[in-house]
Amino acid sequence: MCRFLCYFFYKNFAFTMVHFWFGFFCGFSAQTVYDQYFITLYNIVYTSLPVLAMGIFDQDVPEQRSLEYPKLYEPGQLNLLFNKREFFICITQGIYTSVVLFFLPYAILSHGTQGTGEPLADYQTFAVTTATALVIVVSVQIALDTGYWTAINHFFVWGSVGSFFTIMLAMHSQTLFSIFPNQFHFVGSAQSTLVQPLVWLTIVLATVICIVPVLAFRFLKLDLKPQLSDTVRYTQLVRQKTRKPAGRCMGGVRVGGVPEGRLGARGGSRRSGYAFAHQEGFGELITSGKNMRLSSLALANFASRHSSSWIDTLRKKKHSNTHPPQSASGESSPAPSYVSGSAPPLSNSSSLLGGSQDTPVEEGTHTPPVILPQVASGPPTNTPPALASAQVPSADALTPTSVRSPGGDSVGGWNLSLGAVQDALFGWRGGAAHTSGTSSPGPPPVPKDTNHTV
Amino acid sequence: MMASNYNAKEEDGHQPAAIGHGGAGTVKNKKPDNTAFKQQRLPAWQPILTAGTVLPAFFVIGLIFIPIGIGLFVTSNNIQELEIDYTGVDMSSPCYNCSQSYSWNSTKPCLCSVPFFLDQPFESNVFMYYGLSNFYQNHRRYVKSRDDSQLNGDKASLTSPSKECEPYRTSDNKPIAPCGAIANSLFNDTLELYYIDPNGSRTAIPLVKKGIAWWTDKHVKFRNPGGNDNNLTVVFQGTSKPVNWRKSVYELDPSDPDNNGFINEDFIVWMRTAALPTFRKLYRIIHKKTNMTPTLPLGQYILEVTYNYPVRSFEGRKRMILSTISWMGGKNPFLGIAYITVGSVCFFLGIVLLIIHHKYGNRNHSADIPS
Repeated sequence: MCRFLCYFFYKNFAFTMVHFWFGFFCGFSAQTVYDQYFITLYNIVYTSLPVLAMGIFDQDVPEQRSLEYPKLYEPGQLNLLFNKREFFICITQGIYTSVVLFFLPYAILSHGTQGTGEPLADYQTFAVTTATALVIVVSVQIALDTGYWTAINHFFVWGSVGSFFTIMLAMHSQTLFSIFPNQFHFVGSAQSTLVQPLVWLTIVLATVICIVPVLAFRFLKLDLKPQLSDTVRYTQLVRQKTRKPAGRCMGGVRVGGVPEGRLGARGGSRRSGYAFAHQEGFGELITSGKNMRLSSLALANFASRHSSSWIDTLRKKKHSNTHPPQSASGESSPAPSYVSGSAPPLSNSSSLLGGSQDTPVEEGTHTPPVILPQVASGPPTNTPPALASAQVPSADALTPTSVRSPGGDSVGGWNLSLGAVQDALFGWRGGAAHTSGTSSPGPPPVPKDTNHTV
Repeated sequence: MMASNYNAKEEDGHQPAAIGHGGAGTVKNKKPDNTAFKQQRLPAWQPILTAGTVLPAFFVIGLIFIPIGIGLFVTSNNIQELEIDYTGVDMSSPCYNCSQSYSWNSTKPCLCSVPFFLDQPFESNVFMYYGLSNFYQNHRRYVKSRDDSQLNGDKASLTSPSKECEPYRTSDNKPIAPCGAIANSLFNDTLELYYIDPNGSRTAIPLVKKGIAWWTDKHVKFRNPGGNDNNLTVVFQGTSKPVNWRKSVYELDPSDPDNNGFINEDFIVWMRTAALPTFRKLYRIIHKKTNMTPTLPLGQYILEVTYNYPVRSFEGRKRMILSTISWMGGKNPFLGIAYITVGSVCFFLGIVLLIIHHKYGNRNHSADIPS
């Protein structure tokens, strides 16, 4: 929602401030830079639908992850995503874009001529150039802002750009002019302007100048100071990547290009494939040099356990009101461990990082028994019917885990990387998150549970 | 993701069943449908800005823009251009007398001759422009002040022009054709070019006055009322010429009916308002002769000006520009320099980001946790 708002201000400032700059060159007579019809249609047709689609469909993290990581909601509570500072940044970006969008065509077209010698500095060519550059720049900006491209998003974004060109060419056509000569002054303008290489060079240059700083800032922010939502998003996508070899028994898959629908097909073979992928994908991730700070696989494994079977078992606990140990033996043992794992990294992280950096190794001895069985039964438990079957290998899984851990690191090393994961997950919000479990709701009872069950 | 989708479906399936069985039968299920669209489970592509995508993009942009910029800059440098200001501001300028002694009612045109020297021959087609400075053709009231349906040849608008043309709508109780401030301020200087041989003889350089306007303007937007074949004097009877014109619109080029009346190309070029206060408009074309001789050889030239257009009152300036043309138009060094600059900045930014990324971005890849 905040991105939606920011974009709205940005596109309108980029659109309107061009007139402010033009005022210096037109005697402040309030002459518009664009065609009247473009001004009318800009906010209604050309830019409204993509941002609407982004506002409706955008998901920065999947819904399951947002249940697992309540800390994702913290920026909203703290009003971090849209406050005066963010608003000011959006406005500044809009003004910068308007400066580029006016002064670049001004500098280039003022001396530009067509191939036939006619100068390009006439009002209509200038208007078409600036309008086209504006639509393309704000469309590229919304494409950057949209983090979740459904088919509808694609249709709206590319459709808006397409409709801009279609409507403009229609309005500058001879047909409409012959019907309403006094309304459609721009006859022949778009057709004549958009075939000039100089005009397209201007538009491309304007787009690059407007977008490159945004790209640089966002990349730096993502690289140096990722928010929790960025981290969760990345691990989600990496998990998809590791799941792909599960079905295919192949490596070398691209991240981020997997539509989520594909994973469902592999549901049945996930259990047996998981162990396979675990060994294969882990090494591949490390050696491929994925440039993210997290040992993403560690978090991925961790996170993979937190399926809604956790919610299921929690609900069962509430409904049945029987003791967790009393229900199916296989079922119960993972349940609290699910719980412990699932308040997710919160509890473990606090236990891991609660002390100093030395403690992770010792506490690693506590946690592995908790973690490992979950690892084994992780993927299969995503579907409740498979839950029962998953319990069987859980006991057996204790042995394979010892096999598994050397796969990549030692257990201690794995926990250390897990600690790095937790570190990254909390960002660097002071030491508050690190020092105690007070940041999370119920960590104190949970570790006790795990100790009990194990 | 689909895995969790499975569960979500199951849960939703379980829940209403539980309620349906346990609760009252008349409870209406107000939950939104469990479709992918309404439950926000549509398959989607989730791009992420990783170093693997952003950094190569920066380098690619840099590597593409720099050669383009160099090409544009070299092309622009090969274009020849000559600019002569003939406003006559200085006392030493040949047109000083004409600029000082301007009067609206003078019947005798003021002539002045500006000599200049061409130190490089001009090859291929040479285009002759007139340029004006401090002339705000982009003022809002000025831009509005025209009647496009009258210029399109509509008979009704000919006799009753649009209100936008005020105060240049009627004069002497007759409608003005063409009406409006844009038409009224038509540029009416005449420029002629002569080449002075080394032995002193003058040869006139042939200037072509057709083909200087946009095709759509000449053939679609501007039409003479009553079609092309009629006698324009008759057609325009009952209208008066614009206030500041010396000739009527049907006298703009009587020798060529295809260039007379509203479809006069100089008129059309002027009516296409400029976007900026300093602009140039195409005046004449000098076609290339043969492949052997340059169009404008090296040497001395003279520009003969019929000084009709007053610009001193608003501190404007008039210029004559001669220019050759390439595929990218006239001389435009800014574009080449801009591309080179942006390409280098992108490349440099890519390097900087790469360094920052390696130094600070991968910190947690190693086993030790930063404190």
